[in-house]
Amino acid sequence: MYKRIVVAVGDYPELDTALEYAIALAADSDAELSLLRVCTVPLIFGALDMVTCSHLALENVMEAHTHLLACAAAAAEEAGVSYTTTARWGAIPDLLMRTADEVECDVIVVGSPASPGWPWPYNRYLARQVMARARQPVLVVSQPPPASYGGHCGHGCWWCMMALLGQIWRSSMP
Amino acid sequence: MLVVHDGSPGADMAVEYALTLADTAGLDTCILRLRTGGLSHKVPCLRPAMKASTALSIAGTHPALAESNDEILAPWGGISSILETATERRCDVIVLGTHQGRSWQRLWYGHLARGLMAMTDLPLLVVNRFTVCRYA
Repeated sequence: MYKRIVVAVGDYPELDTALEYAIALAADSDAELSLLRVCTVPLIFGALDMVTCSHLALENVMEAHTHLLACAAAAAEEAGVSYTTTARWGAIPDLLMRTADEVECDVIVVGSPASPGWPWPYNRYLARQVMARARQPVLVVSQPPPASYGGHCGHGCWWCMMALLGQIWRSSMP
Repeated sequence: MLVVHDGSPGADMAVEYALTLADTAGLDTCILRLRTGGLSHKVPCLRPAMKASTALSIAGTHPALAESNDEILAPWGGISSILETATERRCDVIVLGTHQGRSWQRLWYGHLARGLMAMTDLPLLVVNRFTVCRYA
């Protein structure tokens, strides 16, 4: 059905959802997955007391970026999906669309929490930006795929953690 | 698969894309033609009726869909109607078009996608007029 799918990798719950859905979709349609990690410098790096030690902190940030991308790649590998990884610096919506154009993908998967009410501008910023400007179809997901469609990735993402907590809570109930 | 045609410029592309995708993947499709009874019917340049006829002609080329089309009059945007239909038909995904034109057009036509995004747990497949259907 689809040949190439682009998804952003990150440490937000909605990005985890999108990644999980994209892996399941790629496994189901035998598509190639393009994993994009957009690196950003934390705002605190601009503070005066961070100037002397910012290079040390930046190394940790880069390690975290690499670890996230490696986790996503491992999840894709475990699902038997062929993938490519890319890490770039900049704004997530712009780079997601640019990468989608470059790899000529068929669909972009983005996550969006289904929660009406405030703060909706913050919650759905990425999905709204990509939806309004992308040239490719955009699949907006708010939940991980059903169990029959792939299930949890098993790599410590937010949804796996919630599922684990749910299992522990249920087992502790009398 | 529930395909929503709201009369926006991108809706025809969404219908065509969804039908081609459904043919390729063997999915059941339901087209929902949304007639907004508010201001859009009074302002000629925003009237969705013309576009809806285009969607019908596209759907007419797919005989299997002849019995699955619905038309719903939704006075205030129709988000609840879309969600009810998706629940009734047990759809797995909602397909709709979006517009990438000027700001006021995006504001007018984009509210449906934004509203659905906030209200439903179902995946939304948003298609715009630049989308090239590679499966035809």
